[in-house]
Amino acid sequence: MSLFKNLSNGMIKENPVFALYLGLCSVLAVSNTINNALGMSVAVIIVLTVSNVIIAAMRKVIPYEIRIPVYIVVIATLVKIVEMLMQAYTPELFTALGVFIPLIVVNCIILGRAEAYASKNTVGASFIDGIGMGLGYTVGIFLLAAIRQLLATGGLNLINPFNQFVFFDITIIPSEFTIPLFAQPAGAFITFAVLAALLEVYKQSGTKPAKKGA
Amino acid sequence: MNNKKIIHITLFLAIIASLSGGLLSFVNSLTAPIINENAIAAEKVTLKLLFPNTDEFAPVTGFEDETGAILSIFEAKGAGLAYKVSRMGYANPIVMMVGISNDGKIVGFEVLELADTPGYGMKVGEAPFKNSIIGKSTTDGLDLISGSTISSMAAINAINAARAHFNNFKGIDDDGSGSVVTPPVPELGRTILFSSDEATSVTTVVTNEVVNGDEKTFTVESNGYSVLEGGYADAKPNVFNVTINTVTKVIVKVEVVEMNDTKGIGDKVEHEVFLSQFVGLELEDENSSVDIISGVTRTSISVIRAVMTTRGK
Repeated sequence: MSLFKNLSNGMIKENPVFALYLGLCSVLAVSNTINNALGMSVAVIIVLTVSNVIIAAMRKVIPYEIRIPVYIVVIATLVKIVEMLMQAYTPELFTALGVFIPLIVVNCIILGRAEAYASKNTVGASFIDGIGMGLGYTVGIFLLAAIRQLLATGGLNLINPFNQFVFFDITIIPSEFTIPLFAQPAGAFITFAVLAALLEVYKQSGTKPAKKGA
Repeated sequence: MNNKKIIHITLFLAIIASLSGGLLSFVNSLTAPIINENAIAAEKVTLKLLFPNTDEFAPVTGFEDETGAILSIFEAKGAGLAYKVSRMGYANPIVMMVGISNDGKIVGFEVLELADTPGYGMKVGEAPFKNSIIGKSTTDGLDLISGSTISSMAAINAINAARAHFNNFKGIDDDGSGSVVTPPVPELGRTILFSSDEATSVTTVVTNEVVNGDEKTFTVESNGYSVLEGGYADAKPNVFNVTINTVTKVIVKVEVVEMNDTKGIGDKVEHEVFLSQFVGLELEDENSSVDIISGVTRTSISVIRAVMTTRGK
């Protein structure tokens, strides 16, 4: 598999969020603003990529019987480190994401990639896979967050979590026309369902002839 | 699985776990001071107000609080503990900081968020209330504010949560007397002359008269807040006993027989501070006057009207 294909695979066809339905807990919960979504994504990309690399590097020495506990120790350590760093350097983001940072430990994308990919592939390929899957997660949660924030608050804003510098803060929909429902969990489910259905339509449009009998 | 394999697996997992532990404690040593600094940064100004002589503060984590009132606890090194506490006030939650010194005295009280009724609940944030709290020990009773029972009760409950934690933490024995709250002394408001329209324009109903020598006791029904305001299902007039010396026309005693106005507000007129004002006043004297209870105007006036009705009888 070429590098690019490996990357794009994780973003669209095997998008962990919309195609594999993995890691939905945090996706639905923190996709209320694009700020939170991007913060969460960066945390997931770091944990996913580093854990992929470590597990790929150790794949030949990890005894088969205890591979899952070892993966979990590796992932939990990384998550805890990311959590401590976020609490120290981006306290606002840390407060906004709350319990969903420690919950990255049980994000099935990460354990799933460790078991399904990193344990069978080289360090380099696992690194690319981590980045690709992480970006796929980012695309998914960012799309969801952008739609939800726009419909619920009428605008989008992005703030640098390190120094509270405002990159942009725009209002598109006047406040009379916003739909607060989209800030609620129900809004997350509705948006998610629509996006997942659209991706399915896209995937099937490419394979129509082969699907005659189905 | 042979023994060698088991030892191999055990060792491997032990090594991984200790590597992980070592790495975590290293990162923790780097981030802990910053996290600590972040946690107190937001409260630093208030903490300095509570403990002006202390520079070193540290958040206390993992505390137990059944009431849910304690938001966070900070240790002022060598001085005491600061509690950020919150309780629902009359309209909005009240957020406060309470500083308790190591010898069990409340040394500081700052209100951070308060948005209750101006003139009533807002008194929680004013100096008299603050001064009534500072200096009390962790087992002393605290005084409510007259006219803002709900707001001041909320504040006192929050302070009590902090004190309960402190006593538990320091092993101070609380005999429970601290939870007994002194009933508020009603605050007197404007003065009403016996000769004014307010006092005399409405006549009340005398239902009974008892003569005892020179003294005569009238039982009077007087419309209070619930009747005058309307809209109350079982609105009934208040009933008072007014005792007059028929020779000197001096008021001997005013008593409340039945109070049918708002509980907690109307019944403030039963307090000695208000009723004792009538004793010794001359009914016919143009300049006789009493102070009504602040915030309890209608009920207070119903007492005055009941008294005025006895004039000339």
